[in-house]
Amino acid sequence: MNILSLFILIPLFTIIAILFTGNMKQTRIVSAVGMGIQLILAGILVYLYLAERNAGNTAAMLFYYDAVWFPTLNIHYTIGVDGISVAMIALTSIVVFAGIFASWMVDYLYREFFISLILLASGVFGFFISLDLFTMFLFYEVAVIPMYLLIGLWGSGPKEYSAMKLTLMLMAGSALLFVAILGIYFYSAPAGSHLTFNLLEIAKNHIPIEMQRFLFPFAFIGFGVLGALFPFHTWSPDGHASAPTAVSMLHAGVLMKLGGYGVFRVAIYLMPEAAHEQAWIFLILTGISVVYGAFGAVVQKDLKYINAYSSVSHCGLVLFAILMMNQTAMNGAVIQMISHGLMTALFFALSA
Amino acid sequence: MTGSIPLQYFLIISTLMFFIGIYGFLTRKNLITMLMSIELILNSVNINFVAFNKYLYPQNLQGHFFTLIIIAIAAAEAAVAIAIIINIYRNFRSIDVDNVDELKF
Amino acid sequence: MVDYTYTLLIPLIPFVFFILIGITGHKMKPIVSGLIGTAGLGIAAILSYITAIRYFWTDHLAETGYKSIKAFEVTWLHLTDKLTINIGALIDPISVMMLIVITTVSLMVHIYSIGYMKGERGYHRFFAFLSLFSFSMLGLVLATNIFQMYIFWELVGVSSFLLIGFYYEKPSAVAASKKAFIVTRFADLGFLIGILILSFNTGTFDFQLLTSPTGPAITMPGGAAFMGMSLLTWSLIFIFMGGAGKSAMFPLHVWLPDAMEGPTPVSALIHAATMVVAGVYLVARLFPVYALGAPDALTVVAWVGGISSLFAAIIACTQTDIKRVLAYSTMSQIGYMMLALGVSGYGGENGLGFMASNFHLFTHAMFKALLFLGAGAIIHAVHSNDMKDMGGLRKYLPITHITFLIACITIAGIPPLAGFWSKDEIMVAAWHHNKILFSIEYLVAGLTAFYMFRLYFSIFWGKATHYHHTPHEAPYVMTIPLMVLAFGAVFAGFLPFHALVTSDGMPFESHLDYSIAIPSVLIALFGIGLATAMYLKSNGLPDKLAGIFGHTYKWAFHKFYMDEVYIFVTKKIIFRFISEPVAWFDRHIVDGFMNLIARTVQNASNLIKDLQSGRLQQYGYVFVTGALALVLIFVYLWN
Repeated sequence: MNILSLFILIPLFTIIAILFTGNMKQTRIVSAVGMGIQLILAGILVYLYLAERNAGNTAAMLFYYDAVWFPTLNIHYTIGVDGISVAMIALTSIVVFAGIFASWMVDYLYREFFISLILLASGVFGFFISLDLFTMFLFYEVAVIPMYLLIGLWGSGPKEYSAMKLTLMLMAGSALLFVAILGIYFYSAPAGSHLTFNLLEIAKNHIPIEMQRFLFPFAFIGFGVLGALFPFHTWSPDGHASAPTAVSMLHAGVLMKLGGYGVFRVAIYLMPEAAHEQAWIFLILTGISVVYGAFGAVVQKDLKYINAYSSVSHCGLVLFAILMMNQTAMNGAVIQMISHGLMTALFFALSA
Repeated sequence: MTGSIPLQYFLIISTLMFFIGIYGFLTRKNLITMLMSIELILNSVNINFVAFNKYLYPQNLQGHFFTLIIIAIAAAEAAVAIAIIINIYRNFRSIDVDNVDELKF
Repeated sequence: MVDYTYTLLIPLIPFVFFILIGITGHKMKPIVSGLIGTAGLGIAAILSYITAIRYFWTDHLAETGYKSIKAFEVTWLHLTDKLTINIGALIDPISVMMLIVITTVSLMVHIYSIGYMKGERGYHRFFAFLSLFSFSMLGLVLATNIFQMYIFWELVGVSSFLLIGFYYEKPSAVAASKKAFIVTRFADLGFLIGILILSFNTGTFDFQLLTSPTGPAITMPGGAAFMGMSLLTWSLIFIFMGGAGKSAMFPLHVWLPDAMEGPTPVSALIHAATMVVAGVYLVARLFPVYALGAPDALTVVAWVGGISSLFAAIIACTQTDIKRVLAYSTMSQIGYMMLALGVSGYGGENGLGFMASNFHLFTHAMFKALLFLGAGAIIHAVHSNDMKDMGGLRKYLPITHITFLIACITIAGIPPLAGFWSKDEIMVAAWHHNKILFSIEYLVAGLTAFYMFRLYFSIFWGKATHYHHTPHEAPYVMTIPLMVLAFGAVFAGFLPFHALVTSDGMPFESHLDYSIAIPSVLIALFGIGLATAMYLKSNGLPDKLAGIFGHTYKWAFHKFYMDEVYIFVTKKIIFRFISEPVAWFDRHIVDGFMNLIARTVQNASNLIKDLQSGRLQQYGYVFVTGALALVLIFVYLWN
């Protein structure tokens, strides 16, 4: 058993276990234990990863595993991690674990709440470990859907409005993303050979530059919506303000990082030439996000709104750094993602 | 083979029945009457089947079989439809089709 | 090379105690957490003294000039091959001197706080934060590179924030801590920009490389000049902006008076002796770069220092809150130090200003900490900050009275106390550099003597107010630190700073210039005389004088309306003309656009929703018509 698959299986087992719990206390404890194991596993993963790297393993992706699950379209369950994914996984498991405790007092439909929360987490974990575009997209959707329920059912304030807005905007992003993914798929291999969704292989076969020019904005904006790219960020203040604490934590702490990670993994990694050509457009947009979010935050009256706008600003910074396309900036982006993830999650946990 | 009655007569009858059925289905507001119209439509089709079978391929029996199946189905369908109508009546206190446009329960 | 690796322990011990007290403090008896914190600082202080004695005397480094020694260094963040951030400990004359200042004052404040904070809620929290501050400040002075300094720079900012807001139930304390943090943070933005410009162009963060006369910073080509100044000058001005924020230089000083909302020992430690001189230390640390690479930036430093010292001295004459008077006095004295750095040259006798600045930093730490702790003892006795509530206290608080008097004489610059020696060196340096700056400082010396003795007489002399309960002298745990610091204030002036702390590490001869010393003593005496005449006995003189100065007095009393200017700029300009429009734009235009899309879709759906009427016969009708139409098309029209 590949250690990475456990990151999806443990949440699923936890969900099944929650189905059998009888009362609130048991539900909480099962969730906490499940996510606690996940956290320990993340620690082990970090350790194993570092050990492998120190042992001189320089493969692009470690713990690589590949299995076909839909042969007709050559869709694989391909998993593997590099340093960025490991960092993101560690961040996610910390935030999820904390999120369980932040929602300790949820008593309305508590079982469904924890199931949705953990399902969301499993989607996020799946997203970070997948190397197959389609599987990645699938996990992305798995992460987005429970969000609607979590905000719409357990939120506060204008929760239906916020939940609907958030979901619709993220779905619109997904639609763009899907165009990009299919486009990449159809140009993933030289004419005549087998098409593939595998990121590593696509990167080896260059996508024709004309297609890159066309697909790059789709991929960037598709993920950018999740990373609160101006002007597609307005789901963020409403969504964060209405969501229950743990969901705000997960959303700002982890889900927004999906945007940055996705931009790097898909848009920039697969279409570097187009990225170089079009970077200036998105640099302007992300630059606006950074300044605009900060100014917007200053005059808010609601703590959650302040934090939401500051997240817009910070995630803008992450996207900005990724667009710089050099190693220093990428390091900075990853560190910023982690620090922002922990910081915002803590802030949401405290402001609730 | 008597040959006394030409095929067209059967077709005229069934076409008339078919359009009378359609007309009844579109204009009658009473669900029972609409059900009866549907029966008319089905029976017009039955006549067509039997007539074509008899006049075009007398050596085959498919038309008869289809007709028998349709009759059986129509019986079942009538039972289900009447059950639905009774339920509608219980809910709406009427079997006027115009009342049943809620599209939700 | 002599081994100084153990200096690493000096900041680490307070850090360990911070964690210890912070986590387990609430389970201890309050006094235990105080004693533990004090003990930690005690060890750090002993180590610092050992380091100082070894570095300056026993290790025979003087023969070749005091070189900077990298006692310890590890790579902390290896970001890329070009960008690594190290963390370590750098030993050189100024860092050793700062170690002494910080650990001494911090230890005294710890001891004092054991008594002062007695019975307060959050006793252990206070000591945990004090330890955190000590750790950050020691890490700051030991920084081997500018980035490490920046990290600790922010950490002292945080600990200052936490300590000012110690009484977090008091709205004014919360506002003050917020203000302090935001203002200094804003200044640090400049610092960061400066670091980025400097390091981008030199390719290093390391102080030893940066400050070496043949290093990449000083030999950095003028490069793209911007508005008539080279990149190096700009970067140094930006770095100085950070220093000016921390050191409360005009116009970034507004946070310092408000910071007095914190507990008094905190004011003594952070806002008088250590953190606020971080800006001076920063400029001193990068002094060779300033002096050799960008003299223009140094001129800026000198003028900012000069203006701040005058500005603060004038305001200090009008304030009635004793801690605020001391705060403005601190600002004024730091202005002196900045000015001294600004007028200094590099190497030998030219580096007089550099030496004087550090000298003054040292003596100032002693007497200003003493003044604040004395003020704390007074507040402890009277339960008020306002000098109008005081008077005739010399009978009740004998030890505080004597030590306070010593501090006042010292700060006024009367020989042979410490303040005289350091201030005199500054005067000499200023005289040789710029006569206008010298006259400003000369005036400020008189003002300093005046406002300090105004404070002294108003508190200890004058009519005795009727107190609710008789003020009593503080316990020994509070008065002993006062005596120790008074001892420092008297004798610190005799340290041979010109042989120890110089710009290039080489000792030089320094002698008293009577043509400057005598007039400065005279103006100080004049200031004291004036204060005596006005405040020894209460008479109408102060009011009359205030009447003569009229508007000037009013302006000074309202601190030249600097707070109002800031409020105006932030609230009325930035908030109203940038932030609120942005927020409005976001809610109504960007979000409005999204809602518009949603509403458009909704309306369109409403329009076509009638097709789905639910009427069975309508469907049937459409179906039949459609089927007939298809038949028509395919049977008759297709061919």
